[in-house]
Amino acid sequence: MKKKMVSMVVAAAMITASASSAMVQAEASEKVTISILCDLERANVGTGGLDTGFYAALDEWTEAHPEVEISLESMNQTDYQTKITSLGAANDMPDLFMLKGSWTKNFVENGWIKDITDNLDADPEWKDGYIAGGFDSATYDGRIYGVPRESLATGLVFYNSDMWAEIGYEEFPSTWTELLDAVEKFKEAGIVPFVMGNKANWPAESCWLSTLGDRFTGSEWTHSIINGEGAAFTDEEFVAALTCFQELAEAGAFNEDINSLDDVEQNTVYFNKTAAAIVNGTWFFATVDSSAPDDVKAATKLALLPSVEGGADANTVSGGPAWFFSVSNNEMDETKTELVMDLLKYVSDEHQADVSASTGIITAWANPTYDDSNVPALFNDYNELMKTTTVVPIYDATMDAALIETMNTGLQSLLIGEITPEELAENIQFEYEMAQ
Amino acid sequence: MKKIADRRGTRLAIFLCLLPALAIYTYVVIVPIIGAFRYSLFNWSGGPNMKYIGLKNYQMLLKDKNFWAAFLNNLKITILCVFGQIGIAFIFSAMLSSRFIKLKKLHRVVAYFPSTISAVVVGFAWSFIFNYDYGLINVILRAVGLNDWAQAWLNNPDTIIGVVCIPLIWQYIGYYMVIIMAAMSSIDPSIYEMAELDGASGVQRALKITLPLIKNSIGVAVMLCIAGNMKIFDHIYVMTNGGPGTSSMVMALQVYKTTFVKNQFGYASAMSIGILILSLAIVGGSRVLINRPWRKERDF
Repeated sequence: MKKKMVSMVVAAAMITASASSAMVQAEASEKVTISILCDLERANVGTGGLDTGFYAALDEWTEAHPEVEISLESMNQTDYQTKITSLGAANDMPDLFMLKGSWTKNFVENGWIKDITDNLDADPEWKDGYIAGGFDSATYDGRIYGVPRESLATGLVFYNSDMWAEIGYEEFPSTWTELLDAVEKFKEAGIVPFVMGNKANWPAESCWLSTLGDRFTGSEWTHSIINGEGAAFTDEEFVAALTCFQELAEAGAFNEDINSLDDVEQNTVYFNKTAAAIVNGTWFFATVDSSAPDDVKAATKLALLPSVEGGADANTVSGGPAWFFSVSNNEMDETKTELVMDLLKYVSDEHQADVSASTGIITAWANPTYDDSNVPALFNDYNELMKTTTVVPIYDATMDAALIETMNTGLQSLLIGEITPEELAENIQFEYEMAQ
Repeated sequence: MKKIADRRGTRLAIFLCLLPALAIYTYVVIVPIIGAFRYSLFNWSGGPNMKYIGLKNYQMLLKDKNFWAAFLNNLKITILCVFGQIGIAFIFSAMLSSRFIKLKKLHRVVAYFPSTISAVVVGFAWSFIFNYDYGLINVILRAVGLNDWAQAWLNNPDTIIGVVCIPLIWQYIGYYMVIIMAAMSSIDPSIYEMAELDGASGVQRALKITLPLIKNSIGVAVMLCIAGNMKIFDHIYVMTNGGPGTSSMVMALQVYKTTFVKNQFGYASAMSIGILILSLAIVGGSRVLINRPWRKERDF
């Protein structure tokens, strides 16, 4: 009995001790703490990517607000995606975080994310500063839940013009037949026509299929899929796109180790001239600028995937904002809400966009001010190219995450001939219907 | 009377001593399993909205081709590893306990060393070794003129399971060697002396004397090996991410992807419970096979 008493007293003492220490902590922190979780890392500042602009804006804002304590946690994108979902499930969301377009529906339905439509409407200068359609992927039921970050283009062809000239192509092919002919010639010369590092399984879909699919289906089909308006993945056009992609792989257009090379290793293969071209996104500008050997850098040119016979408009590239800055639905008092919204604006408007643009990053902010003599050469080429090019949706930025995972793993099998285009289309359609 | 009271006292003491461990075990193992079972009855995408759907997730799981393909991969890996890890460990232990090997301690340390490395590091190191362009294997093959043999090792869906098992086997040989050598050291050396006098060869001694005498330890090793391989995750995640396609997908990786990529928390919980049941069944089955309770005492 005595022992029991003692243990109870000890337990009670421990509880009071921890409770009182919590109280002490609460009293001491008069500062407002804003927690941020992001996939942008301070270590990457200066190497391209949005990191440079984001941290420049964040630091400026923090300096101007000494009453605020920023508790920032950053990690790479793959880890970030796991972490934010776990925090959501644990009901422990950070105040400010990054939203991927395809998560919008799920995050809104779970109540993890704040509706910022009214804040944006109250500040038209901020809202109208972005490119047309910038908020689309973060809009659900007519309400806006995120401010766009980069405006990516994911399906650009980067080709080594010297190597293509050697096999007789002064310009990048403009039809699919010519492209297949070039593939044949490169193979004879022992050169890999296109390198793809599809180990993480998104490049085949995000960089290739989002644009190649559009060549066959046109963007009306894609919008119909996104909005659930009747189009299906088993439609003839989409199956034709998959077939074309598989035939390209069968013709030997890609490297042998397509599914075991990752999306960083693929760059090296292009840089050391083992491969003549790579299909990649706008983030690759800065990589070419900082890491490519001088001759490769000088020879690298931009092009769009060629047109296909009987297909849709060929002047398109998959792109648009894929990631957004968002605020969580955490309970906040008025002061904190105001501060968080102010910070949200500061890291997403010209304070961040101008810095980003001067390092060659295309943000969703429509008219950034920067010195175009210092940016990577490809950045200027890109701006020129985009004058005649329409942007079409990136699949993984706009479609349901479960469907995308099925598509991505399926494409790995498709490209090594393990599955037929029809089977893959059916699998994707099945997942699509489940999600509806 | 006093005796009984004493015994009760001892029991209470044992119970009290076990209590902390039991409490921790309950908290980190039993409670999450019960939690997972509860979640598995819901259609849940991770947020506050949970829709009760009864056993629908389990119905779906039974029909899920991908899950059963992953289970089959786990089985293949387990079989390869039981023979690879424990088989090679037994051969090495037998060799190390013979008189002809010098520097026994060094061999033991070197063989055990890989088990101390984190699985992620092992995975990365072996992805480099398997690399098509600069990987060790292909470089050697090309250097000796076997250019045709050089291939993208992690790219062929037909052989991928065998290939990912190589690092797994390599890493855990030392671990099982320690268990087996400990068992071997408890065998009375005079038995071997007698066998030697009778003219038994080394192989005969290993198979006819050592193996039967350490049967129980081998049984434990097999069980550990099965349990370890049913939950295999990190090596595969790093080396192939389940690819190409789903040809090296294992159950744990599929649960991870279903949870964090597809955001289907409820269904993934049902998968976890499925893994638990399948693993228990297989471990239990292997115990029965090893102990063979239907055999009579004199058969041994």
